[in-house]
Amino acid sequence: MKKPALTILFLIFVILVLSVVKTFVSNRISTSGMVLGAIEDKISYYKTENALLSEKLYSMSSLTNISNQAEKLGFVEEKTNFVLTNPLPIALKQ
Amino acid sequence: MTWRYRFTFIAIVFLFAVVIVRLFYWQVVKAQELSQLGQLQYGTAVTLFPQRGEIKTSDGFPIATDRISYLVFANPKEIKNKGEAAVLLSSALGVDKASISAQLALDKFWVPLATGVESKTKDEINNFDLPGIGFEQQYTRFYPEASMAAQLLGFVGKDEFGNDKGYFGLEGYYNRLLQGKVGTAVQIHDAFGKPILASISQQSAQIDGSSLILSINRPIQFLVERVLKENVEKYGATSGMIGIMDPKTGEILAMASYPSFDPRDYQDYSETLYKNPFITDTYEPGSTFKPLVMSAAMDANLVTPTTKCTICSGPVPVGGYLIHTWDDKYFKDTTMTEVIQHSDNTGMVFVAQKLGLDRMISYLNKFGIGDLTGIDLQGEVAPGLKPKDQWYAVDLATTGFGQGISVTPIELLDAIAAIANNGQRMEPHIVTAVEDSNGNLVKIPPKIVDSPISPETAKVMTEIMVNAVDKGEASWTKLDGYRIAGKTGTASIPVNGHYDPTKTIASFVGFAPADNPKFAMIVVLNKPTASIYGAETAAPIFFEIAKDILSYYGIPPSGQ
Repeated sequence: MKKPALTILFLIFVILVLSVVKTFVSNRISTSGMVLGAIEDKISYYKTENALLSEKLYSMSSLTNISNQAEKLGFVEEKTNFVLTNPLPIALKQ
Repeated sequence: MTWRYRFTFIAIVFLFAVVIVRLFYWQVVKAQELSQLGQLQYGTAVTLFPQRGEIKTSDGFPIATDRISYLVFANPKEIKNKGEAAVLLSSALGVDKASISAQLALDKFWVPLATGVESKTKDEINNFDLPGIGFEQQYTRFYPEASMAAQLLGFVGKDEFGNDKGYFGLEGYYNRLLQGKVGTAVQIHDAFGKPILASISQQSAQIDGSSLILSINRPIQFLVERVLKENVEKYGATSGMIGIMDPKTGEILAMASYPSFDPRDYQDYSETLYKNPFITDTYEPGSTFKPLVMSAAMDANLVTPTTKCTICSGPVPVGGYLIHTWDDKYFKDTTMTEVIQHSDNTGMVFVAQKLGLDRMISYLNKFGIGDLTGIDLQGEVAPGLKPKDQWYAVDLATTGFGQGISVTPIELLDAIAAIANNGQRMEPHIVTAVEDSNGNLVKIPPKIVDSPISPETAKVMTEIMVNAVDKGEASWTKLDGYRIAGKTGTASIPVNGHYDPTKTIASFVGFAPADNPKFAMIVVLNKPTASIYGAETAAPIFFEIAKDILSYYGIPPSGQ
């Protein structure tokens, strides 16, 4: 009769330990929602920041913008067309 | 007593049946509704909108992407001084004060004030510190290069349910790929409204749209658009188009039309500007068509570059009509090379008659004339060739010099590119690869459609076209030091059954460098007024652009 009693006591002990652990863990993570919320807010903030910076980067590196800026700085297109043909001999023998 | 037992038994069975039916109703019939109701008590159903895919040029730069914008809304019940709020909001949003006031006067908890509001404006409104004003993040289409390639891109508008939908161009043709798939999820909150662990139960995840990688070369596209705009104004044309293609792959390097529209404010422009005239407008190509007919006759071994024209000493009578040359100059016994060089209509009548109707139709079909090219853009049209029994003798003759037949610019560019590509016609395409939201790249390989002429014929035709550039009407504007194959075109426009001699479509088609073509290009000007001739309007544009492209590719002059 001793053995079943020990087994029951052991099981009760295990149940109690697990209950304590569960209470402890639940207590620890019960406020994680707030941390998670803060992390999600941060992710969302960085995503938005990233998108806004990308937009700025695209606008500034667009050829349309570069061309406008170059024009403002006084750059003009070189219209002269140089063509390098076969060089003539220095002295033509005629 | 027996009936009492029976009565009790039946009553109990009946009550059980009622309970079972009711349970079935709640557990099966109403299960989904109740489940959603329950979820709403501890969480919020969220619609997950996918991000629309980007459209990138060949250098990876997005010419159409999404930008973050905001929907500004108000809870009128929370706003105490509505007059002051309306003044501040109307100045920040650029919306009429009366319209803001009207919205704030409504007896509602939520009213929209403006959409597509930029982040800067949002910050400005935040600084007002107005109660009852909120923002909802959303995405709107953003075009970093402004109106570049507008008719190629199309635009994003709304469908009947208020969702984003692409119209025209690539946005329209690839709408399903670009838009992705909407998802739904439930966000679970704790008593304080904060999300809890494992908070989002994804019922169906959204799938972001795929991105398109184009063959469009951004510097070339930019150059082409600028030059086209300048020259349409310079030559007093009503409109103009330029298309540039890699003849070896069929990839479109640039495609521009003027006038165009701005996809950001598409609603401010006429609907007629939305379509891409390069694939939707047909015209009679005139002399730019001659290389196709000439190469067909050479491929069929009916003429050679030195074959002499026996009917070119004067106007040619055909089917009751008298066919003249464009300048009424006639060259007796002119060769086929000179026919192209002088753009001799009578010489082309000679070639067309040698070719005959059956072979003419067969070669035109092989060159893709009358068929859709298959370009991956929405709205391409193909005027189609007349049925064989409706061709008269004069139709065959005029087709020889590109009148009485209609083509789209893309059709002609694709056909001429076949000469540049050793006789092989490629399917023109804009999208070279599709990249899904996970970064997987699916490349779209070049596709050979047909081989209308042999490589030998293509080589001979190229030499004839080089000769036409060096010695023809447009020789004054050609690039020194480069071998460029090309042909001018000045096509009369049919108006009410006859041709108006004062209104023309001036064009130039060609490719360079002739020996190893990097690009084929077509320039089309509609009704130029400074000069009606292609040699004096379209040709200089062609060479101006060709000069810069050759320099861009680092191709030096050959010194010839």
